[in-house]
Amino acid sequence: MSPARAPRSAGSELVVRPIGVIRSPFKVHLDAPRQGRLAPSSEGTIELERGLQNLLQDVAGFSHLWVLFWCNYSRGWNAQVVPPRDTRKRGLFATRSPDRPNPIGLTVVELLSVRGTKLRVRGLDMLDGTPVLDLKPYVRYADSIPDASDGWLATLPPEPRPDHRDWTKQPKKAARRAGALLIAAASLLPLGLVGGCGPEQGGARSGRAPAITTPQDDASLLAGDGVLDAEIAAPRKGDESAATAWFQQAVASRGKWRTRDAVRCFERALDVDPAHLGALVEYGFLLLEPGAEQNLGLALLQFRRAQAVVPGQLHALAGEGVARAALHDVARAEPLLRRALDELPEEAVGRRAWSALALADLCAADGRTDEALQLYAQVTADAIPALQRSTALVHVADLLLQLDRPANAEPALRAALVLDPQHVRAHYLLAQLLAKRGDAAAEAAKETRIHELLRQLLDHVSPLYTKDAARRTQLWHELAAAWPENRRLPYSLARDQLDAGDYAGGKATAAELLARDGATAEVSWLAARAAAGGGDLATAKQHLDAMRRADPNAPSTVVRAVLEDWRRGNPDSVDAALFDRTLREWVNGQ
Amino acid sequence: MGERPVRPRGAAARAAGLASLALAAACSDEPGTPAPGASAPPAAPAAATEHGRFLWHEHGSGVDFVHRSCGSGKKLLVEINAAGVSLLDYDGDGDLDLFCCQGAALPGFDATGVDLRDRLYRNDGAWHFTDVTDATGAFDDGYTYSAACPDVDGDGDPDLHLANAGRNRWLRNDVKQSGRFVDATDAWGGDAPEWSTAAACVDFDSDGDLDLYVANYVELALDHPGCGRLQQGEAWRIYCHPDEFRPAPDRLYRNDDGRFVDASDRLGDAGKGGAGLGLVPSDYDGDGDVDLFVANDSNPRFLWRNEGGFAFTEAAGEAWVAVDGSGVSTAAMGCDFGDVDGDLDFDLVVANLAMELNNLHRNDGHGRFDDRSTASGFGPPGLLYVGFGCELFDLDLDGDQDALIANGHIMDNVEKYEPAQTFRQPPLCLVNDGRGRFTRLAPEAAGAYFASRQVARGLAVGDLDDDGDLDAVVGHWNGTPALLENRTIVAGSPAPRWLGLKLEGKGKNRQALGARVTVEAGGRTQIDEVRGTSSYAAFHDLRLFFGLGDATGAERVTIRWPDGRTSTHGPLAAGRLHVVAEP
Repeated sequence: MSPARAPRSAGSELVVRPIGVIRSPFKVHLDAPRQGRLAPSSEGTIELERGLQNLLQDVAGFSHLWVLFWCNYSRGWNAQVVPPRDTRKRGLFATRSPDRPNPIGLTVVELLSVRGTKLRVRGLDMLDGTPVLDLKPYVRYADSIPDASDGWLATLPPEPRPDHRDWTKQPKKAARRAGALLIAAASLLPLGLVGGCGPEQGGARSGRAPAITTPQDDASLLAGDGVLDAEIAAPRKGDESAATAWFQQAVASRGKWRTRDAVRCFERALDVDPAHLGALVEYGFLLLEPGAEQNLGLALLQFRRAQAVVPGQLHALAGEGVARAALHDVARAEPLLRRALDELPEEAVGRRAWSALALADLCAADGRTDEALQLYAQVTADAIPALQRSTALVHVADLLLQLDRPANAEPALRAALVLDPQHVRAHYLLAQLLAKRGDAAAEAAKETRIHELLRQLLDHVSPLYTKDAARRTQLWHELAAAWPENRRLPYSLARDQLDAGDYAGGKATAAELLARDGATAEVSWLAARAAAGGGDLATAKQHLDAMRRADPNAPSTVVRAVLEDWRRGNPDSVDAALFDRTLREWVNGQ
Repeated sequence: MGERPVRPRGAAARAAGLASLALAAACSDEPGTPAPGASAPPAAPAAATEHGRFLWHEHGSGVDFVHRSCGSGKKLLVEINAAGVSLLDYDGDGDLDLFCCQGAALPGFDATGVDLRDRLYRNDGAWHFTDVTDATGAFDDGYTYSAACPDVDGDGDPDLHLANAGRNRWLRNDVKQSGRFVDATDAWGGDAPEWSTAAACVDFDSDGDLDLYVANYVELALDHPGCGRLQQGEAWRIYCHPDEFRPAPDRLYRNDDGRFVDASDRLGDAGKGGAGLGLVPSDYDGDGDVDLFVANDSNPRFLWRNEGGFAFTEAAGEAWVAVDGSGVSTAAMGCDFGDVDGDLDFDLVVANLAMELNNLHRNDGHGRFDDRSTASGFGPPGLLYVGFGCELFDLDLDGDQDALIANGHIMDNVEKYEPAQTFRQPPLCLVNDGRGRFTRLAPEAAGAYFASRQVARGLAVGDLDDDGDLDAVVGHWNGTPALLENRTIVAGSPAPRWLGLKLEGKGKNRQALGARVTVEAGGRTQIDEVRGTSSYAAFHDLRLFFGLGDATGAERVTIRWPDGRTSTHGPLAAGRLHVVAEP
């Protein structure tokens, strides 16, 4: 029975078959523009199914096409939503939200070329992998209605508001508001409900965030080798808008301030919406990074969950490859990494660097020296982010040492140390190299000493255990004496002292830094923490203001961090109510 | 030892995280330089029976010992690392008997009706054992981590040194006279009161008697508040990391006419701050005296270079074995020396924590080592596992050193913190290709035990069935030890040729501990030492076994005895155990 003769009833269903797929540079919905016309330079491809090329006859003469597609990443819908630039709820059909009863998307694109079943287009707003339902030519006489009214859009103020989904484009004016997160401000919920990590958006008012449940509660993880082999079910869909707020804070915190805060915000985002693709992917990559928060198994779990949400999601696939490589799951890592390198767009520099580095390591371990060296060379190029570059430089130096090429290894090690002066392994390898050279005994001894002290410092770091704070302070001082040219050491010492609750020590170190480097954002922040921990809120506030003057884009988590130091340093005088009240006052700029 | 469920390594984690895979490629392209006179290794013999290389005697052996950690939920650090096993011929009947180390009641543990004795099992042959603990009195009431079995009094039978969390004990073997072991702690001394984990008896000063080195761990604190994300509930409690506690200094004792006198001052300040878990003696530098390697937990390792005259230099740093190739002080547990690449010096292997490669440090023959953990293939198979027992031996009798590694995590709730980890973990059977490159033997080939998951600790190796190949016993935390029969030599089937040597020393060192043996057979030269202590929480068969390939015997066997004198023997026929007395 043809669809035209199908009986119409309220419960009837219709079958729609995709005619093709979108190939787009946008992998995550936060990457994609709100409307295609807002990204006129974004190019992609519509790839139709085999055999449909004849349907494209005479299409090439049109400059623009309508594309109807299925928003396959849509997960449920609400009757009313807050549009991206708006501050109040609107009926769903008064918006273009992709989350609809029938998530059909509609975009007009500029047609660049037609070749076989592939159409090169520009002005996309669709995600990569989106199924295409139909194509129609854009015709001016029928589709262009210049005097149409814009409904509620006309009520928006002329100055564009920040898109609450787009954390990369926050206007400085909004960011300067104390604690105000970088999203539309008018619908801020009382911050006490969200713990100062950003207001909720959209229709959901969930109240206090539910207790964090560990992803490890998934019983399937306890089978076999845990996350390596277990079946990962697609996470349940939650409140994406609320999760996005946490996600944005996480990304902002991750930038430079507090990795631990970023972790916390990612966890909150995923608690609110376990299927939040951005949070899954970005949290995963954060967990891959060396440092106190590194957790390869947990990272792998995020990537696998992300792919359960969006099968074949390239960033998640790349992350899974990197994680599996680090976990020595070589057989499964290599094809993932190769696919990531083949399919990730060039602009995904960091992700490509991760993938290339991991693949290089696999090749090096497997004896494929030439390929390893080529891949390492890719990751050591100037455009690569510092983390991957320094790591690749150390790895390639190690390989070169094994190949008995110390003359090539030494510059690689020194370059790595420029990027990451406190890279323990680089110091270790350099010390070995210099010791064997014989003519560099003094420098070898210095490198050995630096390595020794760094190693001791690293041996005393753990988020779960108490730290020997006095010993760490001593080690930093010894390191500074052995390594006077490293001007970052006092910063590390200050952070250590503050994290350990030594606010007097932190205050003294911050004072030295103020005298030496001035009221930079980082120095001001450290001074604010020290003052708050010592109970001097007025001084802390002054330093915080200085920090914001130096860096208007500092996230609101720094406010919370400072007040947490205040609470930690003054447990008897700072109760929960006082803390919450002060946090709201500081965030609201009072 | 404790655990860091995340990797708080900062810059070093850049090495340990992604970098742990990135080591030499070249060594896998070219063979290791063979030692002069060595020929290519013979083809490996066919794999053993349908059971795989090792047959697991899971039932019916008579070994019904169950290790008890004696915890009460507080997760005291002392609970998690023990389950030592030792092999000794206590009754002098020529076969190896088994000693299993037991825990002791900790605060809050209800010991009512629980047998907390160590246990001694007599080997009756054919993989059957009889519990002779009551008859022999071979036990104490301490929390025993390991038992060394040196013949301290030189009367021809092995005594017992029990390394306890608390006062160590000596049990003198008086079985031939009275049928029992007798407490000789007060008489012999050397009863280090610290939390001891391992001990080795070596004639350090070549005066004919056995001295004693005891590896100590950390201060024994039974009232620590606890570790982990306790704010999320008791289910998140974990055993604390050893860094929470002050390391206990190791102890060195000189044997002074039958009494062990504390000579720890010879170690200087370098001997403090180790947190030792495993140790292995060896003349790694080939200068004729026995040195000692100590695997420390999350601190740099010790390599005590014997300078003679009971003087020692801590040389791990200059030898490049203080830390791993990433510059990281690993959480090192088991360790062993062996010539893995056939260049006639002793290379070093170390078993580490999960997310730390197990290390293979290749001896360059000049007193230094190169980290070949990845290039050799030794390290990567153990990346996900916490390695304890770790022993090099020729399991397939093809003339090179293979390895067994006994694994088991130290966090029973590790899955909460690290989804890629499990508490029970599979053991590893690594086979050497003769050039120092290791491949993990698949469980189907290795045996059912290697497909199982355990919380393994001590690993002792010896020929329990006297058929010429080396078997293994693995201690299980809160479990029964695994008896693994090596099926390389199976009655009625073609078998590789082998040579066994039992050395009998003169004087008080009747076991010839510290002797070095060189075997020349069929154009190939192999070396080994009589050690007893190595791996983790273990004491091994003191007999030495060599695979001879196609050779029908050894043309020459050279023995350097503990006192430095050398003797030469041969030719010696293959297929039998030769008893060689010190001339």
